[in-house]
Amino acid sequence: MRRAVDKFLSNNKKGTFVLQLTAMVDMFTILIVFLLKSFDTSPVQVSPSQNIILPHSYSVTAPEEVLKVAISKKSILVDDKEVVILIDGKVNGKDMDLSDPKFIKPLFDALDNQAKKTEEISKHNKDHKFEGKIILQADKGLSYGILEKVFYTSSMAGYTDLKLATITYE
Amino acid sequence: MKRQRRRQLTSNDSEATFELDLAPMLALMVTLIPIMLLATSFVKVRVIGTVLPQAVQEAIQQDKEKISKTITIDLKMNKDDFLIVVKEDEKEILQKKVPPTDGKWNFEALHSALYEVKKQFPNKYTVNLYPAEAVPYSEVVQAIDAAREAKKSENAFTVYDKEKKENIKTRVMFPEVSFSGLIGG
Repeated sequence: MRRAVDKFLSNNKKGTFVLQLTAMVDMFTILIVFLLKSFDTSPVQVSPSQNIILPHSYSVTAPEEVLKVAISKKSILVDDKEVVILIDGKVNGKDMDLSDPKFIKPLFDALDNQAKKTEEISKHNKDHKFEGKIILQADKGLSYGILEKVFYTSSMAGYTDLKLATITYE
Repeated sequence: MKRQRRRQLTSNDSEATFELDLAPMLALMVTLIPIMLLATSFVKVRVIGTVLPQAVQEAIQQDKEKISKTITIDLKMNKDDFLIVVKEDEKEILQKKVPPTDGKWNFEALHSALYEVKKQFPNKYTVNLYPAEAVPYSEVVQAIDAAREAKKSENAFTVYDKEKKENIKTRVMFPEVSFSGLIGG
């Protein structure tokens, strides 16, 4: 037995070998080219908010760097801060204005604050003007009823230029 | 002599071939690929907006400023069908109904109907959209998509470019959609 092991070890002196990497390098080169092609070069990156599935569209317009409003089935967020809690995609009665059925009070307050902030900044920096633009990220399963209320409230706060965020597959 | 030369040539040839050391290149790629996988987004977020040549923009502006004979195109999105209503000075001049197929909205038929409307009113660029409250947002977006541009297989529309003093072709149909007259999107 011992003799057999010694024989094996003596025969296996050349235990090191050259790994054939050419095929692997080829594969990685193809992968890198594919990833470079998929690389998004637009200056503004909008990533969909949590719990939101955006609708699909054929639009190719790149997003701008403006205020983001997100509507999921659970809440409405202004600049990633939760301002209204929704129950089954509907606004709670206490958040609504009794005299105006489309007016969402907390949303208006949040948007109004953002508008005031922008106007305050524009006093010191003339390049930073209030343009009333919003990128709206809304879940594709929401009904138009809730969206209409958000459109109405944001237009009341001075945000009338609304861009609807959608996804485009490559 | 000949045999000796051949032997010399053969030995030189075997020394000329060598194995390229691909290990550093592989190490670089192994580092690059995870970085790129993390940084690349396969699903891109885009916004619904307008991409128009200069002359088309001017035509839209003229359409906005036009006071006499105001033509409005309303698109009513009901539970499962569409109704296109064209009004001239608030008087209804055209009505088209797009019936559902298999109980769902027929976006192909909507596009064809809007294309026909556009052919009749080539200077109109705005559609007033009136979705019902229960209509899902994704269907609203599809309706906007159907109204935006003519297909490649369809004939383009002619717009007069004042600067170049010539007619230009565009596939843009109704890029401006306003929700129930509330906002422009």
